[in-house]
Amino acid sequence: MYKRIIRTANAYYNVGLSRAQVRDLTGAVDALSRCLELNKRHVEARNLLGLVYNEMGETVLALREWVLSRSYRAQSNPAERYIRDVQANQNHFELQMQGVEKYNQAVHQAQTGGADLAMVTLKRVVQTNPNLLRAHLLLALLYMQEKSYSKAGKLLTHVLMIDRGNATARRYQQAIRELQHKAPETVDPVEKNLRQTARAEVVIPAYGVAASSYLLNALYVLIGVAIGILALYFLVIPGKEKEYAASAQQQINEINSEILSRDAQIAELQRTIEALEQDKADIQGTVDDMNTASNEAADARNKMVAAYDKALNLALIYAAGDIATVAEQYPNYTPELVDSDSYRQFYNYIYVQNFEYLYASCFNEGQRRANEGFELEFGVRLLEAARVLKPDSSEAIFWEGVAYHRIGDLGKARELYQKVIDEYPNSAEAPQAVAQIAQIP
Amino acid sequence: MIKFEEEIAKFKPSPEIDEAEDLIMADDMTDMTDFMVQILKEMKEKG
Repeated sequence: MYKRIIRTANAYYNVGLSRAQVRDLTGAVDALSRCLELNKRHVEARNLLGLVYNEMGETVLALREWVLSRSYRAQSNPAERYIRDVQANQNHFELQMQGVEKYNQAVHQAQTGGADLAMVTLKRVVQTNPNLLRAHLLLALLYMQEKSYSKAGKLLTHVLMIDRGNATARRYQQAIRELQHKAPETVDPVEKNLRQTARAEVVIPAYGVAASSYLLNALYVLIGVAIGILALYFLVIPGKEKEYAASAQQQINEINSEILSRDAQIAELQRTIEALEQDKADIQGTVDDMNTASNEAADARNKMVAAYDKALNLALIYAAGDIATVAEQYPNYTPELVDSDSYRQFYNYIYVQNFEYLYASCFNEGQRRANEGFELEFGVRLLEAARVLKPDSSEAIFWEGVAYHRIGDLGKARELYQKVIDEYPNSAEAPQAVAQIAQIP
Repeated sequence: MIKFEEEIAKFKPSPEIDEAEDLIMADDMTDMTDFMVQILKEMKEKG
């Protein structure tokens, strides 16, 4: 979901960028604002929006975007340079701010019935702030109200040269065309002719010619003056237009170089994103493997802990001298139980080096009890433990029989005596077992 | 057809430099990702 939001924000940024490239500044503001609504941290969008605002004469709005952009990315952010550049020429900056202040005054004046005063103010503003589009539009509107459509038209043309997508300017232009169609404006014919000439059409006014030399001379003079004026405007107007176009071209070039830089940054970011996506996939795979390994390791660790516990328990029992239990536990322990050299040494000590001692201890203590008739139950246990260590010990079997015999468990006693007679007939205990069995009723 | 009074009323003042600080501080900095996080938190608390 987050990725989708980011992708959509990037798409809006690209739209804003393409609009700015064709000087649709109003459209660019719309798209870039949408981008920032989705992702306020889109530094490139903020920087570009600031540039667009600056181009539209909205310097404070531009500064806002650059300051916010800098707050999101302090390092390697062109916003820092933009802010510096705007404020570098203090005089120019103050002039711009004064222009904005005057524009605001003019708005108030126009909205409170002071249209004439507003026009006076705005005429100064459009000189000092040639990019403040709002001032041009308001002045154009005021000109339209007093039917000075040509003056309004010039202002609107200027606005559209800076911002091709300015809907207000286009609407006003359309309104002027409609108004001029209904009631042609009262325009100075010379000015009208000069305007037509500026469209590369040379129009020589057709005057009625009198058949007198005086009139002819006057006509020639008039024509000469007209041609002179035309020639002057042929040179001046193109020159002015060239100057204007050069200035606009310079601005376009600056924006284009910024845009190229943006394109390079975007391409770089795309490559970085792709690389990060790949890294993420790799890392995810590694995490999955680690999780699996972790689960297996956890199992192994738990088993190991349990085995160590057992080993420690055995050590405690041995240290307490409970030889019977140590012997009884013999089948429950193997050298491989715990993967530990210490454990293997311990096991070796108890069940290998001291095996005979262990057995002897169990048997001797068991036999003593069975022979002397005390602690017979414990004696049975000891002899059984001895049999765990040596299952084929005929002596242990016999004396366990004796212990059961003295306890009164005659069935068990007969069983064990018979076992000695049957399985170990050549043992020293076999004849004794026969004698013992004879005593059992 | 242009209605002059209506068009005049559409014009708003342009921000001046002494309003810049207020403009920056008053900007609503909530974006979609903030909303998404908020919604997910609420879902978690309810769930």
